[in-house]
Amino acid sequence: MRGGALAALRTFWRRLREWSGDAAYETYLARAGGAEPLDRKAFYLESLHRRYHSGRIDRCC
Amino acid sequence: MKILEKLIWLLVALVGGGALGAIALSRGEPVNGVFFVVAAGCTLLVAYRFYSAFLAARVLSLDATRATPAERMDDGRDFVPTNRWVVLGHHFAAIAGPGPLVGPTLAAQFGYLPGTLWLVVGAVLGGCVQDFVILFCSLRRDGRSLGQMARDEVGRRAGVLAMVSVLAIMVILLAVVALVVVNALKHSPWGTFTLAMTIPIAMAMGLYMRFWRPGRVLEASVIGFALILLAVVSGQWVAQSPEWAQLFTLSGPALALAVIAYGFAASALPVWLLLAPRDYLSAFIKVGVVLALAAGILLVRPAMQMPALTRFVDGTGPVFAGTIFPFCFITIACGAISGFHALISSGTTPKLLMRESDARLVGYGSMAMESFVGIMAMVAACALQPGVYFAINSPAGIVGASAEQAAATISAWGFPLEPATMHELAGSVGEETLLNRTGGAPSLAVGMAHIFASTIGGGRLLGIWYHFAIMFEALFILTVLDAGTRVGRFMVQELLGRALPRLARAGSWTATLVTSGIIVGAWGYFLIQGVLDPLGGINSLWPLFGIANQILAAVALVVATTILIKMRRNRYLWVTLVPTVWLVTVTLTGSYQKMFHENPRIGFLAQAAALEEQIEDGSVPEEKLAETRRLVFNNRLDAAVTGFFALLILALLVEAVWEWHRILSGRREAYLTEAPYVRTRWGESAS
Repeated sequence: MRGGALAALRTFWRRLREWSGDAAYETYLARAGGAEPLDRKAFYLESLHRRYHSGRIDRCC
Repeated sequence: MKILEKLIWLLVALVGGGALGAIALSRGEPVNGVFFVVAAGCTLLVAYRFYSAFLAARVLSLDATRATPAERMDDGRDFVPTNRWVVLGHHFAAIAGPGPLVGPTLAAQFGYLPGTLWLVVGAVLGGCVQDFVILFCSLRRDGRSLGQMARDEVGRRAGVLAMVSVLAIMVILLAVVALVVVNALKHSPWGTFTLAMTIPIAMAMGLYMRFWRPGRVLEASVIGFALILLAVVSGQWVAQSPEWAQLFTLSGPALALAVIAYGFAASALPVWLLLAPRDYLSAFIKVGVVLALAAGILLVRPAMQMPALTRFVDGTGPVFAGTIFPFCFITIACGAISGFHALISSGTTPKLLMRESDARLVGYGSMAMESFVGIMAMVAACALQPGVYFAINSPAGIVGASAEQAAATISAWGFPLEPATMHELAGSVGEETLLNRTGGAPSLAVGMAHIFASTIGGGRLLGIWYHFAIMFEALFILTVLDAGTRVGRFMVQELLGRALPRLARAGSWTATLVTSGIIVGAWGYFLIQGVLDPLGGINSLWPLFGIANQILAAVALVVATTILIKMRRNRYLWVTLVPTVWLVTVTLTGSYQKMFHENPRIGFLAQAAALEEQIEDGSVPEEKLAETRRLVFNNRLDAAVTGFFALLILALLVEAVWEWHRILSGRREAYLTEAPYVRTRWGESAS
């Protein structure tokens, strides 16, 4: 019972980090493969650039 | 389906139907707000369970074995296979803006019934379908945008029409949301201080995530939220201090200029400094407040004070003029169906979905949630005493500028109101006055504050809750303003860059400043026009925004219908055609009435003619002549913009119907631009 609640909390925390973008760097590292990965700061700036310079609307009325 | 499952769904349907019946048929006794929550919740659940399943299986034939763009092009950056509940959260945070809160609040002037029914029916048969189908279409096309799909599937002209309509609509959208903020904050030192403080708080968060703890969004958001709460509380001290209160007490035009300057700065500043941290903070607060409001309504169970139908169904409403058809549907806009959602559904979301079958939850489910938010806004607005609702939302030009005049006018309409009620209410929320605060945000904030204060803190905290609600609304309106201005700037750069390549150069400060100035100048002009409008601005700008938004939805549904025809789903074309026909009818009727209606409060040209007549017969004082001439010009400009929107949809319809005719008659091959089938590596069963 307690184990189940803890597992649910862990899942919630993981999903919250994914949703908020907090876990974006870990996700990127896991997929970086053989290439030299960006450091955390460079990745953060690059992700903001891609998100807000795409010319696409990502916030609605 | 097992027998127990069938029985449960039958029960949900019966409970929802019973609650809807109670809302629709109740006369005399106030209906409890819980009925609205239950009716909407059950109807949306049943629609999700059955109608979206029908769409997924029969109409779109979602294929769980087909790899999504996120899987095929996984780069850990743009294309990232993501858990469907996380994508649902992303998508909902992106589509839920001020529209589903403000639209239903304004439409409450007709009574609770028309808006409530349209929020539910419009979402189930229109909004959710549009979001779901466009998401599916984009998913099958490597995450292409609506404009690209219009060009590829309907024709090159359709692509250009879609892009022009998005830009034009964005200008009106940004103007109207900015007007909502200005009307909520004018002469309110507490509110203005709180919102002003969100700028340095967002910048501090930006610096934190840029230099100290790169990318630590959760930490920065928690710190930012704590500072925002501090700003809300300390706003009370600012309002009580004569010196500080004077500094933050701004008139409508002064606030409009401040918002325009802010929009320009936010568009030109680095995103990490202001836009991104504000966006993170706004998403957290948005989701949190929506959940808190739902819990508050269930705990407080407020009774609806507004009648089911008011006398203003005849088109003489003080909040905005026009009859239920078409204006209720144009006004509700985003809570039932929003064209802007099609841009999100063909934006980031299709690049995140792990499985094609997830499109049902994310596309249909998110819009169902947004409709539910609209229902909660309707409950918060209708739980107010109707006299108070009309006193807050009516312009001075109609009810008068003093509490005595407003109370006399509104009581004569059959909604009793004492002047003292308005004085006491304003005092209890820490405002000098709540009269003539058009735009919907302040009345919604009063409704939300009553619900929150009834749960925590009582009357003592009413002022804090009111300003928390105002901050919540203004915060994500400014996020829309920031992000929209920046995207508008890119569009202007792309359009003008074809003639002047220097303007398209990325990283050029001249290009950034010139194009930012153009886009901010465009929406800023309409904002100033709204602020100076004696009828409150919302009366002319919100319907214009509603028409534009619904036209964009019609554009999206036309693209979706074309794709369904090419997929040989002719039996199911009604799924997108019915909402398309409805939207085209509503928007063209609304456009025609806004241009040519003989009532000056409805028709722009009639208003211009009436003002011109006043100038000619000498009834306009000398000092008001220039202002009145400007109003004449503005009304003609609004009529031209409305006509432009109507022509856009007519042109796209002609293009699309011709394409449909050629495909259906076999004169043209039904060529789909879908990406080739690739089998998913996650397996069919893993859904």
